[in-house]
Amino acid sequence: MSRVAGVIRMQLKDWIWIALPWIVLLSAFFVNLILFATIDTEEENYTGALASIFIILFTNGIMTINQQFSFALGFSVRRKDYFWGTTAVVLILSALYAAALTVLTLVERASGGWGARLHFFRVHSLSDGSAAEWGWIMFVAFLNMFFAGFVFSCWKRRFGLKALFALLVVLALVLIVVSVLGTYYEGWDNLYRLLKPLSVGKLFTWLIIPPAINAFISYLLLRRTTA
Amino acid sequence: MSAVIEVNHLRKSYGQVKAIDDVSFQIEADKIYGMLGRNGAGKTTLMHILTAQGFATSGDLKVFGEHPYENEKVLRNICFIKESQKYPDTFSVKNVLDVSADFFPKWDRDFANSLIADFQLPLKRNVKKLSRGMLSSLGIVVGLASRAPLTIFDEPYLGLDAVARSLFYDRLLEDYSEHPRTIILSTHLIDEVSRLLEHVIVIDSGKVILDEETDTIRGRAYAVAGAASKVEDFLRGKQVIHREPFGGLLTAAVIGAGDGRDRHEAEGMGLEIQPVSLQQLVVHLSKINQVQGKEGERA
Repeated sequence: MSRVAGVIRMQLKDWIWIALPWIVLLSAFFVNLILFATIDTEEENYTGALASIFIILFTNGIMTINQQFSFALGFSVRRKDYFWGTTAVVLILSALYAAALTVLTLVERASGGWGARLHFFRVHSLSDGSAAEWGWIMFVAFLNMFFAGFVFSCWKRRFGLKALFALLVVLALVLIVVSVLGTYYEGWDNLYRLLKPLSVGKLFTWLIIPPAINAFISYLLLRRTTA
Repeated sequence: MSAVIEVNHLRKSYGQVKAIDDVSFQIEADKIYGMLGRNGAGKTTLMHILTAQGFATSGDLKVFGEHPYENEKVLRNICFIKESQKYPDTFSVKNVLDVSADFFPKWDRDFANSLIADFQLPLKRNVKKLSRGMLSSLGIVVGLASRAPLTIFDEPYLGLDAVARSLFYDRLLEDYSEHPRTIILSTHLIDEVSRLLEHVIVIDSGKVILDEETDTIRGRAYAVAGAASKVEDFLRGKQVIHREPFGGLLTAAVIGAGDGRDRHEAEGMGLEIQPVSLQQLVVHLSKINQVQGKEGERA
């Protein structure tokens, strides 16, 4: 069996990948549903609880290095195979999650908010386009969340905890400088004008770049990481 | 004779600390090796480098003729069971066996199951909830059932009781005779494994201080036992590496072959000549190395 396939199977044996995001999301959903079905209200109800599943992808990106990377390396797996196997799992699961959430959003729309004016899966202005566009947005968002967690975790694994703090401090400083300079040179207005004509779907197509860069950096870090 | 591992002038340093200091040796195919040495001698570091889980600072390394780093052809033939092996939090014993079947091409499921029964491991139990001894047993099951052409056990029996340890030695020998492969046992419990080992490499302070066939090593020293006063007489002028008094009796380990004149002399005095334990020899050789090392530093 190919080693990448072995890594995929190994990752999927860990139920945290498949079950945990849905346990959290669906329990939040049912609590909200019961709540809003019992309260008689004329208002439209938004919860924001959909964010939980994206946050879990971020934490999974952090945890897989601690949980699976050392284990796999100890079982004679190449770093490269671990990386591609994990990336494949994330791509597959992100696509499945996005598809499932799109279907739930459609059902929500058709049922008038589950008969309780509950907009659990709808996100204002993001999910109002076509179903395909909404699915794509969520897919890209999942990848962004996962690889953001992944690259920090790889950095910490490669260089240690102090280096992680150092990186966070440097990143915070860079963000401050960029935002100050952006304001000073009226960069934010220009950026807004640049992005305004784009549809949300097109905007998210550009957002495929950060996870790709993070994945590439993660791979370079893993190449020199010890068990 | 083909070399499975060839190591030349390997070094690994962490800042000023030399964990591996100019190490060279070869490991031949289908033999059982003992990698012996005290805690912190550099055994585990060395094995991490051999399996490409760690990196050397300098030197050459070949495993199955190639460098093991990111080398699938090499790595798929290696099974390294280490004391510090981590497992995912959610994994059960069965999960670990399933993953092993995917990663070790020669994995024998039936053999694994019979070992699981021998060691009385609960298949459904979460690995995190295993006792130290059970965790060691799990490593042993994976290591043996992997039938990897190069199988390395690093301190495989922490927390194992005597029954389980002898079970390990028995299963290892049985399976090795049916499926010969290269096995490296790293340990500081030397006497227990000495009967298994065909070749011994002793590491101390990052250096190889002994690299010989077990039989040759045994021939380098012998033990003499008898009444303390008589033994002391016999020992005069000889190089003694170990003394073990017991009441009025004394057993001493002496450098030499223990044949010819020495044997004759001992028999004449009513003393008994015995083979020396590997452990005593290794301890002795480590001490000599340390003394030499200190002299080297002064010079």
